[in-house]
Amino acid sequence: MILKSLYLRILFLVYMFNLVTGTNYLNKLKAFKNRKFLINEEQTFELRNNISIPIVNTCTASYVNLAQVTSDFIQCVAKYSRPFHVCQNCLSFYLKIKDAQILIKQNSDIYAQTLYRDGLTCENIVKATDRVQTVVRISNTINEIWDASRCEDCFDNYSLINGTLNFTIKESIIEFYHLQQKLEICISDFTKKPASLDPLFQDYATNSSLCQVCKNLYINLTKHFSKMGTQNGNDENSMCMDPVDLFNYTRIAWSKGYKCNYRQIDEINILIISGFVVGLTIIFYLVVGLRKIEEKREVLKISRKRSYIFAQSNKLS
Amino acid sequence: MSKIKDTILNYKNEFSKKKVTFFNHDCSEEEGDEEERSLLPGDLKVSYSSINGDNSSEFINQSLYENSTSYLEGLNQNNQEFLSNNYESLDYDKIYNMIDLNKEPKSANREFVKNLSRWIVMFLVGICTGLVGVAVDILVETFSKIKYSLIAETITECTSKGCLWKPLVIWISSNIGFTLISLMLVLFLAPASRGSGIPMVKCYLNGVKIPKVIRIKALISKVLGISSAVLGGLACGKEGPMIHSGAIIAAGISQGSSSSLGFDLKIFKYFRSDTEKRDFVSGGAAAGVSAAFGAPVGGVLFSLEEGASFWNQSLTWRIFFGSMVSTFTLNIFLSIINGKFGDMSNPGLINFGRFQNTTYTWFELPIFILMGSFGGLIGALFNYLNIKLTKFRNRYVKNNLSNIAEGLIVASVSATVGFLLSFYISKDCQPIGRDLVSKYPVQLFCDDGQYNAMSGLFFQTPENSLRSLFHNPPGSFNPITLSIFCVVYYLLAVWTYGLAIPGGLFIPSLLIGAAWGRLLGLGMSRKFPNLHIDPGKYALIGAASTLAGVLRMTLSLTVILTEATGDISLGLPIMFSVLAAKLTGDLFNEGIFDMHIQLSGIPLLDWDPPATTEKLNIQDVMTHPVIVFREKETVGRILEVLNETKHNGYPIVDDSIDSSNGHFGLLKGLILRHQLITLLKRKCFLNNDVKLLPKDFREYYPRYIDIKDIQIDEDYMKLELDLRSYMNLAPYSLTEDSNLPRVFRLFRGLGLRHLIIVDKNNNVVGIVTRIDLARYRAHVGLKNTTVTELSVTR
Repeated sequence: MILKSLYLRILFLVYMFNLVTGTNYLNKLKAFKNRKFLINEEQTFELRNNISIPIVNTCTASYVNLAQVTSDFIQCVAKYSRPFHVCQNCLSFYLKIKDAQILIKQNSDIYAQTLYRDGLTCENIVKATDRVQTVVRISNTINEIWDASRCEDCFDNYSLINGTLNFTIKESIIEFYHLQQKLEICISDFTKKPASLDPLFQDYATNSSLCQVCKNLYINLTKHFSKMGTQNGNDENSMCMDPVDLFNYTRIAWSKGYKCNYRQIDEINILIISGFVVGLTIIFYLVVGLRKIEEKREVLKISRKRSYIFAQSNKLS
Repeated sequence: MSKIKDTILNYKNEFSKKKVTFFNHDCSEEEGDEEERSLLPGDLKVSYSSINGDNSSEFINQSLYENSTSYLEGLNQNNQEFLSNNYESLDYDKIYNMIDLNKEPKSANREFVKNLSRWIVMFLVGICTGLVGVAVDILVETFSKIKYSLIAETITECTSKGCLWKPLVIWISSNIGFTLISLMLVLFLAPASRGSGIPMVKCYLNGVKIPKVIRIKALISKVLGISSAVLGGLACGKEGPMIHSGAIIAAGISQGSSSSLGFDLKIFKYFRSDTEKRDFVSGGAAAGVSAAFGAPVGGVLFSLEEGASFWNQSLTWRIFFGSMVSTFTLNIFLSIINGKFGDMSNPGLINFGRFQNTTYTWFELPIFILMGSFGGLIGALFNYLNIKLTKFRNRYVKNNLSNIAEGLIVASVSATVGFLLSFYISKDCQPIGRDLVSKYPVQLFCDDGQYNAMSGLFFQTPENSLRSLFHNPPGSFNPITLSIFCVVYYLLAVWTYGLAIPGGLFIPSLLIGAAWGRLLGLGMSRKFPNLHIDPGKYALIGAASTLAGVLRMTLSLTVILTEATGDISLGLPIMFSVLAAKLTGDLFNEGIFDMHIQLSGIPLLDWDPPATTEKLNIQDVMTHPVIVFREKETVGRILEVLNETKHNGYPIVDDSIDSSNGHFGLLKGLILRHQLITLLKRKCFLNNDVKLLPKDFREYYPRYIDIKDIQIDEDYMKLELDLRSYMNLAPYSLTEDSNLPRVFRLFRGLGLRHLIIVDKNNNVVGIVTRIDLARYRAHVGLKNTTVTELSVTR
């Protein structure tokens, strides 16, 4: 749309120019138009990361690339939301989006020089030439998803070189997966169900021996999880979402699904202590309140003129 | 009652007798006249004497007396309330005497330096108040983190091991430990730091000198005491004490010296008088509010509404400056502590946080007004219960031991109640991460991955609980949790206020109100699901109306709350609810601070004279007889008078003291007690030509020497001391025909300590001090206004 309107404006300018100079530039411009909007399928351009894009101009190529990786990422997120494994699985797409954005930014060709004195850069055209600014909105949304999942917290390091993704997940998270796996295996011995505790894949059957056998594994897992939290110096809200979600449904399965919560409540002790405190209160107020206290309020006699004169005249008489 | 009536009746008879004697006496003196007049017929003689000037004043006097007498008969004699005679007034009247007039002018323009210093002092006051706020915040945050995370961890550990008594014991003992520190500080270091401190500051600014209120000891006790009281888990807040702290800081800095710490920087000496100190103290109080709530404008208005009895424009501007500096200092230091330097998001100790949805629709306004009325009702009940309890405490819980015991009991009950509620009201489980504020979610009996909402309220400082109630998403508290929390916290707050700890009332009242307000908001959103009602907004209105119902402040409260929310659009709803709360509450009783002031018998003077006292003649109010000095008085008599009386000012009259005429001599001036003592100490009577300078009198301010410390040889007793250069040459005086309201207005408006009553010939007939005026108290009820005359006790 935008390009089209640009084109019409250029047409108008050229028409005015014709009137002044008498030369017909219109035919030359028609040729330009054709070149711009017809995509030549055979000519392709090798971008980074093994992506080939048909060449129209470098900006269009970069833009098409961005559109492709964005849709890949969204698809990945949608796919791995339940159970949540977004960080690990969509890292490559996320990095490709970042790369595509950099490509657009780095594109140094200048377009539509006739329109603006300094011309439009590729980034301007892609990002800022319409009201809706779809590209900006989409990229904001993507960043939001990524940040909310705290995905940066999952990895020690990662890199994307020539389309190959290298990353290392944090040691503690791997350990956590390991422990969780053990627990799942332990539980699956009792349930004959596929080894995932996610409520989507599970029909829970309570079994008291399950609780007894797997209890230590569960406690280990819980301990490890809270250790991960304290290691970060953060709470659960700022941990990588992949293990957090795994832990969440594990504990839901454990406490609600298999009803394995083990609690010992020493109600008697608590009641004794509370009773002691309440008793102390009552005794205090009884002791204090039952003391006999004589109210000593010495009301001062205020000397006023009338009483004074009265006293004086009494003396006289 | 009947005795008094008898006295008055007797008096009436005596008075008419006396009048006759006066009449005869007058006539007998003017014998020549009588001879001339005796030629006239008898009835004409009567008519002549009634036009005579003296007799017409008799006539006026008689009418005044009769009016006044009948008024006195109708007064309500109250045996429940008393005024205490222990409180002295502050001296806001500037001294005007010969030595001040003859003083050598200094080289630099003194007024300019003084004005500049006022600004410097306000700047320093702002900074120091802000820093004290930071200190309190750090103390509370650091230790509460340790305390609550320890308890939360122990609970988590013990739910599986069956040792839940452990966290309970830890909780109780940590409460007891912290509260004990607080109690010790108040009872043994500075008893004046007890309670909120706002009543004390109010009295000080009103002109009542309450011993040891403006001392550095009180500041230390206040800061450490309030931190440990909050840490002790008591239902009290750290905001009210900030106001007192600000006032002390202002008084201290403006004097440039501290007699407790024993240093004197020799600066700001010209501020060493009650008048100057008063202005700085009102500024300090404003800076305190500003640091507590991040509300500089509210601080200024608070000083205006609650504190400053005397006000002027340039002072307002200076106070505002101090408040701004204070909130800025707090903000910048908290940003450093939070590791985000320059992030100005913590303007006060308590900030309510941003409200997401501050819009309201017109039909919500009547609901807000009803909420205000309800707040007024429960506020009035709060005051009623607390005053009953305070009376009990004043009578039975008097010595240090029982005070400590009571404080510790409240501390342990607070912990036990919090624990039991979390324990038994365990059905309200919320997914972790839902509470935006709570840092120590406790699972207790909830399923894994959830936390107990009740413990979310109890397991944090009250400020954080308040923010949870304001901002947590709808549904994060269920109605049972809220209502039980509200009732329990209400009772705890009633019980806590008045203990020997420096605890404020703002936060508990806000918290109670936020709980029931949120409850109402939940009800509303259930009843009208398509209105999208934000319960947090209702929590705010509930908080505002409860606070207004307890304190009965209006303007400053509205502005403080509006500033604390950081959004002006909720100003109108807050104002309506505060207004409704005040109107409703005032039908039953007064604000809690006023009631506490009355209970301690402090002679506070209201803005206006008590209603319907126009008929009360000043001769029935003033103190009579008056102890006076002559212009040249013997050392012996001065010593005797000073030792025998406790008065602080003595009128000076000319030599002809003749009290048999009903007066004490012609008024020449007024001399203050501390002036006399200084003169005696410097032995000025040895050579009356050597004059002391004004600074010699300021030397001992504010703690003047006691007369008992002055030793003078017997030989000097006959010597005369010339008081003419030192006495106030033009003391304020009014004639004896004035009524109470006239005297009251002059006295209150000028902040006087003594007002001399004279007759038509400027002879001293009486003297009015604060306690004479404060004795009459009017209560304006729905049907009638009753005026009470209070008794005065020691």
